[in-house]
Amino acid sequence: MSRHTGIDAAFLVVALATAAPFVLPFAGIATGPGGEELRLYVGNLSKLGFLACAAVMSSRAAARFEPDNPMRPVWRVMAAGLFAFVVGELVLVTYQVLWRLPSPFPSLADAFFVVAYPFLLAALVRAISAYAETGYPIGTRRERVGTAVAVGVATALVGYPVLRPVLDVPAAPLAMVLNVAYPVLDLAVLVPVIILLRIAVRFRGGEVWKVWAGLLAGFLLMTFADVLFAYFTATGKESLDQLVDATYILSYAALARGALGQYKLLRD
Amino acid sequence: MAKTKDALDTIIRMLSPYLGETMARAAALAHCQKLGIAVDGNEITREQLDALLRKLAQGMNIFVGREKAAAVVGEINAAMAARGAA
Repeated sequence: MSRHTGIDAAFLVVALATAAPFVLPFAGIATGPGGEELRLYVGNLSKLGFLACAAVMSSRAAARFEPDNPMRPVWRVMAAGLFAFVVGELVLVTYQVLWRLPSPFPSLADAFFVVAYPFLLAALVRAISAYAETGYPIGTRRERVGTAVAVGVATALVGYPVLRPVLDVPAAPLAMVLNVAYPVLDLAVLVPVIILLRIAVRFRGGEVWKVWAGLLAGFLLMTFADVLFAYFTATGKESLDQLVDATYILSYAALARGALGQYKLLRD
Repeated sequence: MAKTKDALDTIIRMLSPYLGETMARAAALAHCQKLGIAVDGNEITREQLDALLRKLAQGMNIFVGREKAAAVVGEINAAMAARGAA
């Protein structure tokens, strides 16, 4: 087993093990009286750990690229967005693990989560330009514009019926804004993610593919989790929130794997 | 001078761990076309090979950094030399 394959396997095992306590009850496997406590610690700390890993590795990867390399700003801005996520997650951990309180919504954490999105969006859009600068056959600009339009239309068509119940539920103005903002921001991020996925898939089988497959899978899962969260909250199916937690854990693990992959690709 | 097919096979084999075989092949062939290197031709000159490797390395820089891209080009040259000596 190569070192890279070993890292993949380790990430997969840890991600699945930390997501398992959230999924097992749906499979009819009781987690016992300690299950809630286990989920509290495992959920919060694994999310924080994976996000911190993703942020630190992105920052270190950025530092390793030459100053004139177009990927340097990509990873630097990505790191800024991920660090904002880390601070947001830290706020949630403080409420839930340290103070043993349910985290309020909205809270200070949401300020950091919302601030992260412009950075992540900018990093992904800049990554598309960087790919184009390689001179490799990654498809035409026309194809990329076509993909952007198609994804934009598809997300609008899917997003409206899913988000409609969110608008119908009475909520405080800020909570309402955030309930809509998260999925909308995610769907905006989805446009460059799908374009990058179409480009990156041409690199399958190589280390470059693993880096971007991890990152893009992370963003796809994050979108899925945010939309599910908004939908379950609006339709009163909060009992399904554990599925959302499991999806966030897998999302952050994938982001961490991608960022670590880029760092190792530069270092080794 | 090396056989064009041998040179391309070596380049694709060395780039595949990073770019994947599909992209390694597509990038090599695309740059051959841009540089006017006949892929079905018999032999590739040293100048053509250097130009091709320079173009491929410029793209690799973006994913793996300049240092590593230069190292990969060095490995390709060493493999080509070993093949030529064999």
